[in-house]
Amino acid sequence: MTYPTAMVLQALAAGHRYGFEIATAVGLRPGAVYQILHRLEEARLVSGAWEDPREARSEGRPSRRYYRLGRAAEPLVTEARRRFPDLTAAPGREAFGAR
Amino acid sequence: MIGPKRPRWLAALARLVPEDRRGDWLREWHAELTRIAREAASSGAPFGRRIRVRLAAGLGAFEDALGMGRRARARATWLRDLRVAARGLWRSPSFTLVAVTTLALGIGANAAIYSVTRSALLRPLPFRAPEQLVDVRLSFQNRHSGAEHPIPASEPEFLELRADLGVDLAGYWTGDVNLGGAEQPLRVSAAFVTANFLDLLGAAPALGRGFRTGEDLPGNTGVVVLSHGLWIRAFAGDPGAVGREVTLNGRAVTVVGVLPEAFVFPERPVDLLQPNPLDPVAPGGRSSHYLTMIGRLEPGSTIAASQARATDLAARWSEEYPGRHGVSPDHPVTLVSLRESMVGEVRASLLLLLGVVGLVLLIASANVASLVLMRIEHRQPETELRLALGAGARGVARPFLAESAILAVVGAALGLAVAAGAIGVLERFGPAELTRLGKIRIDLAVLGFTVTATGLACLVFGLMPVASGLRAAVAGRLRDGVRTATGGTARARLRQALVVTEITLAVLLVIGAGLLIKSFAKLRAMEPGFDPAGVVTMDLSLNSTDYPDAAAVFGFHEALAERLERLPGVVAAGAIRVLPFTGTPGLESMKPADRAIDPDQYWNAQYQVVSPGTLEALGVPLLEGRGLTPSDRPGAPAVALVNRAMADEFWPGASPIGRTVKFGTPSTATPVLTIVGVVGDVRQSGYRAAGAPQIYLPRGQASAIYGGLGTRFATLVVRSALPPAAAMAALREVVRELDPRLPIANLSTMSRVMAGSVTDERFLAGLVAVFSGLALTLGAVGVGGIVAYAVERRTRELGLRIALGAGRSGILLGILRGALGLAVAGALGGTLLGLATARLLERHLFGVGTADPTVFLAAPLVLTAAALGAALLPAVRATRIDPIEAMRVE
Repeated sequence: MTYPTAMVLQALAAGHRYGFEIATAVGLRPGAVYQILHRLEEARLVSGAWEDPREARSEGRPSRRYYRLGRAAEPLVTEARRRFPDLTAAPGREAFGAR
Repeated sequence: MIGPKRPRWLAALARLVPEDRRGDWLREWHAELTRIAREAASSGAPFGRRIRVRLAAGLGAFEDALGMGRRARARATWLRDLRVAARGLWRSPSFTLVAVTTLALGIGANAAIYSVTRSALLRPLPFRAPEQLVDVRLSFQNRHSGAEHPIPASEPEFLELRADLGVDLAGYWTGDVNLGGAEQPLRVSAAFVTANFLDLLGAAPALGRGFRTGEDLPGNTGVVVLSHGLWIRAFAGDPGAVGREVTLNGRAVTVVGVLPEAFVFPERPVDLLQPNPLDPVAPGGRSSHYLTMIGRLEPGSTIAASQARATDLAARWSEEYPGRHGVSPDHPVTLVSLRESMVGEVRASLLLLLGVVGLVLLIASANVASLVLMRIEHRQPETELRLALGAGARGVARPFLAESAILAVVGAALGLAVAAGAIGVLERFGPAELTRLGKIRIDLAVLGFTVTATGLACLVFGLMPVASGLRAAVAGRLRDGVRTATGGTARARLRQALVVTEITLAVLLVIGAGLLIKSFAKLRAMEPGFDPAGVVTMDLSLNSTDYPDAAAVFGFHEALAERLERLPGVVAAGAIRVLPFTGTPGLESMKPADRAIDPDQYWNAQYQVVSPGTLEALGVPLLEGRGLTPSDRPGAPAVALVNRAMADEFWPGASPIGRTVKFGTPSTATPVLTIVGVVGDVRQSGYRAAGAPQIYLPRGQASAIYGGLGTRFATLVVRSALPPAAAMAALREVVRELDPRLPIANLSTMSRVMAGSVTDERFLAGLVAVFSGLALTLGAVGVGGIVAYAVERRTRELGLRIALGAGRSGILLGILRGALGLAVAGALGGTLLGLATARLLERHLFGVGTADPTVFLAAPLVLTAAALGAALLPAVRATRIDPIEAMRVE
């Protein structure tokens, strides 16, 4: 498991749900995060689902795709935490400074 | 659509994403980019930073699209490669068939032997904390040969060991008994155990109870625990069997429990357990050795600590009973882990077989590797074209690797089927130890082993030739236009190396098989001391209620002898206490009664009890004096026959006829026996048995001589001119007429009894022979294949030579010379390897040295001949090449 994959897994486990949120939380390039998310999704370790369009409409933006860890990913998260501990304990960064 | 319009560049980028995911991808990135744009607008950050963030987001989309596209293409390529490979294999049925069969046999042999090894060696013993269980053995040293062999303990020895060893100790002995009171009378195997036996093993009965403390005191032993098998067989699995009264050898006992199905008796399967009467206050004689011992170490205690105490105790024995014990001074009492004692014997054979099948798989892999290599060469033009068109090394290797992967998977699947079949055969014909701990199964571990073995084989037959073959293909492209007759030298060398390796390993295996087969043949050719042809045998045990005393037992045997003699075709008939090749009769201490000898010296001989006609039926030659006759009855002067070994040892240089011998010690109240005849030595316990002193007592006088022990048990021996089946039927009929309640047991021919005594040796020699035959075939096929290929490649050249007037015999010899070179190189390598490793076989060999010249000469010759034979066909084909046709071959 690579370091970026471990970070993405831990971010998902910590409750971050979509690509840019994860990217800003762990400080990785959005492209790298999406690649990892899509690879995990192809391997059925992560599942993506569309946000309720009504919610998006109420905020006047397109629906987001939210990612959730699948059950099969649980051992991977444990492994990620073992090998790269406390990544999610680090303060998240936002693209434009303060959250 | 919510939010701003989707940018066109994003839609263009989406083309990189595989179609099935394109829609989602677009929507997702549109949402993200929209969010970034809005956040940038509302963040108040400087313009440069806003642009940088939006640019980074756009690049992210690009990166993601590229990645998804690349992965999809890789998947599609692999799928396409597999499809192409499968089609290619389908179109070359002979290549596929040979490769898959070779792999399946190699993998199957490995999976089967590994399954057997796992079941027989690696499974935990089915007892509580089995690592604490030990086999406690007394070792007896033969005064004459110095050889040591284990003997059971006597009652006083058992009690002293139990008190001193610091080990919980149980004892048992096994024998056959007549079971009555069930559906029908049955001859069953029984273990007579100390009352703590089941508790010590930690085996709780599935039904009822085990034995209670004190149930092994004389007079209290009227209880019995059934095995699961007997409970099903004799009581149809009726839970009401517990509490029922049955008879054992005519004596009433109560069934108190039934053992669980998984219970395994340590030494051999038994049908029931009964307490063995043992009085701790007044134990039996010190020279009556019959209790086999199992101990349980205290938790935390070690074998070594208990071993030290046992050695001290044995030292005390030899002081207190000097010259009496005969226990070995070096290993008087030995503690061995129970696992070692249960599976130690079969372990060596199985580990050897694992090595053998490992080599077979290596040979199979080398064979397939050389086939794959030829295939690569065959398709070199295609490969070169692909390289020329810009395919990378990985690209051109992939189709071949895909073929190897398919071969491996199909080979492994078929291999498991082969293993399943082989396991059935092994269970049926292999030694009983293989299934001692339960049925042989193909489980997850075996699957794991198979996958690993296949993976390793795949490295040999898949990667190696592909890597080497393609290197040559690249080189071939560089030397564009240059055509060599037999393809690249590197490839040719690899191919030759593979074939030489195959032959080397095959010679090694054939040497191993040759040594084992020769050893087995030597064993079977050992003169047993009797003539088994035409002899049928049957076990007999008379109940103590129906035959309460020695007179009744003798009466039965007299009546039986009379009826047997009247049977048409019967040459001679009798009954013997322990049939040769089924075990050792006890050693009894005895001394010449008419010579002054050192009172502390320990003399002994195996004693047999026979009725008149027994030795004649077995065909044991009478060398001197007379045989036993019906007049050697109770009350008549006590006589005995001795064998040659006993005559030479007790009365060296003199005739023993008319000399006397006394059982036990001078103070024992046994009559003095007069020797009336000398017979030949019989290998009592089997082919390997050395000539030991043996004495034969007449059945009618045995009880007067040593108190009637064991006279109820006997094996009938009948020599007849009838076919075995007819003789056995007649024997059964005669016994039934005399006493219909007697169970018939172990009705067999003497030859079959003898064959059964070498099951282990036959198993090992047979399997190694089968595997080496396989290796030999593969090796020969390998040589044949390489020659055929070379002929095909050289068609043009050979045709030219024929056209130029070369003699056909010259061509034939030239091709055969090439094959001979490979065969000789392999044969030489195999012989050297054999000389270096044959020591591993030493413990399995009998009467054959590990450097047996016949075997070491024959094995390489056989392989060379087989290789030349395989090369002959393509070589002859080469001589028939039509020069005109050959010129047209590209």
